[in-house]
Amino acid sequence: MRINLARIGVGFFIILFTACATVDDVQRASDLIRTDNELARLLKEVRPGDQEGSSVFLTVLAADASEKAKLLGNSADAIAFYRIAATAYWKSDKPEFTDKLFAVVGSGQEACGGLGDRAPDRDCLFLQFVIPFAAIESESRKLNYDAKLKKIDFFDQLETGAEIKTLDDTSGYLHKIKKSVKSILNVGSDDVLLSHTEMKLYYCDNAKKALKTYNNIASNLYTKTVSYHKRKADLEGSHNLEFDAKAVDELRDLDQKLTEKCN
Amino acid sequence: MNIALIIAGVQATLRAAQAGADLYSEHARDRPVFLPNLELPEGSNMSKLLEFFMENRQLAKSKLEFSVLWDDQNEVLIDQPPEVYDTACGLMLKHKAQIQLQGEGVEANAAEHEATMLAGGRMIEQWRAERKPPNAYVRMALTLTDIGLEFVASDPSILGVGSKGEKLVVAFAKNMADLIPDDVKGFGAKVDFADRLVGIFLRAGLGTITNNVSVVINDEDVAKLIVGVTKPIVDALPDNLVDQFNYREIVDALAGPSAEAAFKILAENTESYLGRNFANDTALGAVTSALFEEIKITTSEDSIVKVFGEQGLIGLYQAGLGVAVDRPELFIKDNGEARNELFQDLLKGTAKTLRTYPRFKGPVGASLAAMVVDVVGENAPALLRLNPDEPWEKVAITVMDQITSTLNTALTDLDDKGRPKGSISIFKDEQLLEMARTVLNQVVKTPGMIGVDRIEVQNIVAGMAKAMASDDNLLLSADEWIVIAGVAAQNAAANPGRLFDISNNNPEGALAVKIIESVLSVAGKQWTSGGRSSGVLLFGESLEMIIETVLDGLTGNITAVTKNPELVDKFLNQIINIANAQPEKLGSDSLLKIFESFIVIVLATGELPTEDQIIEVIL
Repeated sequence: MRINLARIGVGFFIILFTACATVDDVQRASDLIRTDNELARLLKEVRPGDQEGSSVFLTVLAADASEKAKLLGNSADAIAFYRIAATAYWKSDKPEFTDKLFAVVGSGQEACGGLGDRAPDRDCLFLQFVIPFAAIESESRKLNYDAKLKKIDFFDQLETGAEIKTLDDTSGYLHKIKKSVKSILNVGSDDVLLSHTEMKLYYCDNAKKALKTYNNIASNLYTKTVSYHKRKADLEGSHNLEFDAKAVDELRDLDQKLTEKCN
Repeated sequence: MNIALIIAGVQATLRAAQAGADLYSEHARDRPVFLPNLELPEGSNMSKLLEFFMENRQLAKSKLEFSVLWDDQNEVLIDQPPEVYDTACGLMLKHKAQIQLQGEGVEANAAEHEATMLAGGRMIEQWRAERKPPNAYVRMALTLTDIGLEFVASDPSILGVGSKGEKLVVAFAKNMADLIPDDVKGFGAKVDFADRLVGIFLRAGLGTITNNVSVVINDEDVAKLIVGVTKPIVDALPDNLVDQFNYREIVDALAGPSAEAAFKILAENTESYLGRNFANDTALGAVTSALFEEIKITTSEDSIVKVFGEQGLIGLYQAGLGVAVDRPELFIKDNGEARNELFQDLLKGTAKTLRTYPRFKGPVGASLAAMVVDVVGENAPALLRLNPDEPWEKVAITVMDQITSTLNTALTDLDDKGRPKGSISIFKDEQLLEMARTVLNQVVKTPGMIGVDRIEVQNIVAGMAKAMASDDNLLLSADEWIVIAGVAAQNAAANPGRLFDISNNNPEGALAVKIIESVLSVAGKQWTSGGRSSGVLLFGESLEMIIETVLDGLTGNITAVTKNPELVDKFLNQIINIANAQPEKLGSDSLLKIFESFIVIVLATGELPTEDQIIEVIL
């Protein structure tokens, strides 16, 4: 009789525990869905009309998602929350949260590594290129280098000093983002990505955008640099461009394999 | 009861629930989510061109506007001045639009036309967004677009597809290149000024169309206007800062009205003279240059703007334009160059007259000058045929001076109450002008009567003024005097030397004046003795007709009256006495009938009719 009672007690304890775990699972899944929906709402409905205001909400959401992720260890749900946090930090456009972006991406990637083949493909793939995306976007927001290059006119011999500064700044910009662009291109050789139809599409669209921007600006920088050196003798003042077309050509040298993979 | 079975059953249930929970969790992780895209600045035109060339390398190499920009070997653009990029961008947009339209099934020609418009519109928007148009052409294009859009907002009907307003804007766009010199860089400070002026002129043109739906302004008119009117104003912009400041101020006030004046003339020219050649831009330019060069000059006294007033000056300018449109040859030398000095001399000469007679400064004098320019200018060919060595502008100045001085004399000859004498006191300025115009219009029909050394106009105006001054009882209104002046001038022109000549033969004054004065004298006596009571019939319209009748009579046989000018008042007194004796038989109509019936005989023979003859006429 005593043995039977003990067996019943243990049985009920297991049942209770399982029941609680089930309820937790449902709650967690619901929470994830709610958080994802809120992220989508902020990005699609709020941010287009109020970038500043949405920034605040996004950072709050990111912090919340990050905390939830930490509580979930190295699970798929945690990775999902890390993905949400990383997205929200990226689109908050706040440089002061850069380290937090790195932190959530790092934690998420660690969890991806821990899960191995069971890691959620989409979220883990996303975590691979969210930082270079954010880096390029952040740097490009500071100045519209393409537009500034276009306005350079060495034929009118006016404002040469400012124009040369534009060339310098553009070269600096390209140097800065080149690594990020390369990093994005490297992701393109991941077989998991290539086999995931939706993520491949998403990746290709954005990677092409990044590469196109980089290539265009680098080519236009090359054009204006050549133009400067051709007309240097006629340009007034003691302004001097420190680099030549060859240096810019080196900047243009990027592995262009993306084009093949994304066709 | 089997406890294990129960526990297993609960476990199975929970496991099923867990499986459901697991599925739910999996769903939460794997459901589609929103992933935001990378946001990067849109590529510049330079980048778009680069991409376009990369995708269309054959086209990039073969089309000239593209090939100057494309380095195929290095796969980069070749740097060129901004306008080269703009041209290529426009073509690129057009090419893309054309392909898209043809892909949608639009026929090739229509697709090309529409693509051109789409590309052009896109470029306009781009330049506006950049806020720094690359060059003078683009800047003006933006100005034209902006003003067109203003009118679209206020009156959409005039700027619909194919509308007159749209055609006008397009005409301006096509011709604005005439405003911009080949050396665009040398245009310098004038870019801003020219751009502003083009805007003013287009606004005036669209305003003209809005206010007059029947007006048609052709491409050629706009071309002539830009070269002949707008360009001289731009060219006259001084270099010196102070002068430029003063000039810009004046142009701000005058450009709009000048443009309206020019459009009005062009519109009238098109309306009234279908099939006529379009206005000559050299002639228009001669008038406009003269005006805007002259307004820069400030003498020790004042500028012509002060002398004529802004409105007055525009009226004078419009008169000049009118002559330039109708008689362009007057403003062009044999070698085809403009006679800029002609209108300048007119302005100087007429301004001098008004300075001499300050009573006429401002709009009145300007209207008088405009009238003289208009009348003499229109008849200049006839004058020049008669006397090729006498420049018509000098004739105009002389006539202006004669009329002004004479009227001034009349207006400053005051009675003891300090008012101008007689009917002159009731004349408004416009009526004085109208009288002068009436006289001049008649006289100019006999070209020999006006000239630098001729005094007929002066004599007629002086004579009429003298007659008007004697109308102490104000028996005639200003309008009635104007009609009389017209008849007098017409008859004088047809009979030179007869009516208004003061000579050795008429030492006491012109015949017409003496007779009018005597008629007025008779009428005046009747008025002062009887007032409006029954029996007094000589005032207003009836008096006017009496005077006109006798003026007509003076063109015939005047043998008797030349020796005895009192004949007319004797005759009048006779009729009045009969009228007063038989008021039931003789009213104003009868009086006039009698006068008309016998005045010719009276003037010729001096014989007055008998009472029976008079009664016979009225029965």
